[in-house]
Amino acid sequence: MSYYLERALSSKADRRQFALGAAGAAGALTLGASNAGAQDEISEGGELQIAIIGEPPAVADAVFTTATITNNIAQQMFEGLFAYDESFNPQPMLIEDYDSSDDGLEFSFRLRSGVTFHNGDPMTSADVVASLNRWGEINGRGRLIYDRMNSIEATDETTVRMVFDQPSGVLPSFLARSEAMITPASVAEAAGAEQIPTDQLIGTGPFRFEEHAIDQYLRLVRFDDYVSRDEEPNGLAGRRTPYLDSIDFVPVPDESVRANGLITGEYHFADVLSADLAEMLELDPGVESINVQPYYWYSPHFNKAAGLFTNQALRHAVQLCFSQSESMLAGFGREEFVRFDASICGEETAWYSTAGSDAYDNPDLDQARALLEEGGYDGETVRWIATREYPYNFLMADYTRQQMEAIGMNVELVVSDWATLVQNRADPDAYEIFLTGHSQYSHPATQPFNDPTWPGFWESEAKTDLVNAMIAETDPDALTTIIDDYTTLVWEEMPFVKCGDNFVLRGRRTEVAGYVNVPDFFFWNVGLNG
Amino acid sequence: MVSFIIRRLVSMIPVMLMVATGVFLLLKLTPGDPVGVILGPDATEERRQALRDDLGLNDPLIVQYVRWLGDAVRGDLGDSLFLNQPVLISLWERAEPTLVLTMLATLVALSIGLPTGILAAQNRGKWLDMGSMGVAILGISMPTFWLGLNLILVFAVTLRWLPVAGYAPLSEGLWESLRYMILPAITLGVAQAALLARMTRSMMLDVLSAEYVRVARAKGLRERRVVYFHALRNALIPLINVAGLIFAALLGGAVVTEQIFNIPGIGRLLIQAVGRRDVPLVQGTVLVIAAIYVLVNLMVDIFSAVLDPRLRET
Repeated sequence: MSYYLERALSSKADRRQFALGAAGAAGALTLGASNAGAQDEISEGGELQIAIIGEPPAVADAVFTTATITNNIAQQMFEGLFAYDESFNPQPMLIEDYDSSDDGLEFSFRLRSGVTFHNGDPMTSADVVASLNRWGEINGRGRLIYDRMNSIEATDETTVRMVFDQPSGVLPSFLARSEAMITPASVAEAAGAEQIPTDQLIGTGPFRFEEHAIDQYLRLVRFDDYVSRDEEPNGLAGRRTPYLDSIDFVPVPDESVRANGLITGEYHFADVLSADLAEMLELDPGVESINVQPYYWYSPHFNKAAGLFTNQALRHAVQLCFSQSESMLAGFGREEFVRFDASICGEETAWYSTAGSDAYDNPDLDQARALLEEGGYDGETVRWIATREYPYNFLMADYTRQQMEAIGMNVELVVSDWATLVQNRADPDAYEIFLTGHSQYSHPATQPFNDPTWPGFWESEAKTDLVNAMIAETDPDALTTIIDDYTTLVWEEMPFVKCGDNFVLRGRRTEVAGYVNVPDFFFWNVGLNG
Repeated sequence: MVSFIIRRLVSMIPVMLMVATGVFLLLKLTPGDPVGVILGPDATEERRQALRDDLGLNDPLIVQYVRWLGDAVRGDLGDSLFLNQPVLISLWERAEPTLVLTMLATLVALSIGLPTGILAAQNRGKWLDMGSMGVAILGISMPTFWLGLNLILVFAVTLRWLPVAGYAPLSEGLWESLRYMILPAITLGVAQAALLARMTRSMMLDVLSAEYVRVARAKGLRERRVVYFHALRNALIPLINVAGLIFAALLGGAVVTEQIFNIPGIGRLLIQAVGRRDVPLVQGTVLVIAAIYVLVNLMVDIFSAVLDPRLRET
């Protein structure tokens, strides 16, 4: 029996704490972003140790890679023209304000004056243009914007003007993502399609790059000349005060080491812990567990370019043969870390919609069998490529396989490591189904599966039109209708089966004050007390 | 002696070539996409292709092989795809933690394994022999990760005597560095100690039944002098071989221990490189580990030859 389990059962007091912890987990841990840390008195100084899941690819160049860990580190150092508030609406960050034409074809951004880079140079419109040009060249979402753009120019020192061929109302939302980060023009131009060298990781953010010892730590230190906004902090937007002297991101691939190190105080914060560790953390008075909502949603994606599931009826048959909520529980175990929801955006966002999702979590085996027949299924093998590297990936696949076999489908789980899966899923001849996760807090137009070359290969004229409409729309009400239509289309064409939302567990020491529970963690306005 | 060393060094060349080719082919035949890991889950196919071109991953296999081999012969093992730094630098940065861990673990293995083996041989068939060999079998059978996690739970999490994981370089002070290394060295050393104890016991038993030992005893020498002066010295030659092999195996084989204790060493580097399909890094690491293995073997042979002149003739 583990030490913690023993402690859990050893005394009444502990049992009470355990019960409270379990009952309060979902509620207490999801305190709104604004009130979680606002009451704390924060003292200046301190060296924060953060255990992250591994070495970040491309260190902190969020334009170069789409890896979440790199993006999260980058946003401590780099800023964009906008930043998301707690409802995921874009708010001005490096700009004072902006004008946009009603037709969504022209945008004019006025930059804040007095903002300097970590190297002391003032930020100018030339830096913004060069940075966005790099984003438009090598980043998928940047490319989407640049493909619609007619021109971008620095009209004076502090103004940037963008003119589009097609309406692009979504622009501020795209520019609020950490990948649309602003660096000095010289850095952006020198890097181009390559990754930015570590000594050139120069931004305007509250922390600046200090040192990187690969596999040991990535150290950021306070940027003493940081010029903050004045508005009240709201999500990632508003005032940013760097209280900490330094932040060390320490790659700790083993999650039990991350959890143990948090308990002993070697780390102040630990990213991505499995739900099984929640009880252990809740028993320790020095540790606060953090249930991160929204986070990711999970779905099996059908290969729609070749093979069986080019047939829409068969995709519906699979969706109807299994309980989506059961598959989430099979994958993630504990109920306080899953949410059964048909929307492809979390209910915390403005893009939430469950339109057209009556079939969600409503298995109907007879109808599923009828659809198999209608689709002409004749016992062909369904190759489901899965990996045990992420336990949910295998567990959800294995649960669904059993349900598919119950209606007479022949399923083969092809299990490999993640690197192999990533290669195989790009090959239309290599599989029928794979499973992966997507952000609950991203604008639906930014989801990678909208790209017909992305694995799963969702080629659909109706989808292309709706995505274009989402990108173009400037009116929030009209956007809601479009997202409803888009969600309906997802459930009609069934490119994937949305199974549910998963929330990730993180942990922090109680001496970490001012921390705000957002999916993309940040450590300005955060201090170390006591 | 010099020609012996030269002969052995020359014989390294085909070994290294075979290792290099084998690793290259094995990795190229294994599916997996390094670009997917580097660019993250949302990267477009177009961007992946562009990076594959940049990294030369789309070139024919033979072109990639000849290019890599040509560079390797000149001492350039290429750049790590994921870490974006030369392979040799990646290895150099991880040499210290791995070397320190290996030396400490070997020390643990020797200081437990040798006395236990000798004691067991001296007390052959008695409870001390059976007891210690029973413990040794337990030591060999115990999975490293299980022992490591339990040591962490007891000494780091519960008693808080030692840190949970991590590494402090020697430049931060000997004790600071040792604090991090005690638990991993025990974890790694225990299995080897058990192996060494069993080997020592059987070597000692062989020697103790030899005629010159019987003569020594017949001369009326004290048992302690017989065991430590006559028997152990002769049993040491094969034991030096074993100790050398243990040292070499630990250098590249501390993968699990380095992972559990979050030590930025060569073992962890290798396992991560495989997961990321960082082909140049895997090739370079395996090649260097192979070279060290061969060199340690050579040193063991030289040392044995110094101790035992008969070996120089073969």
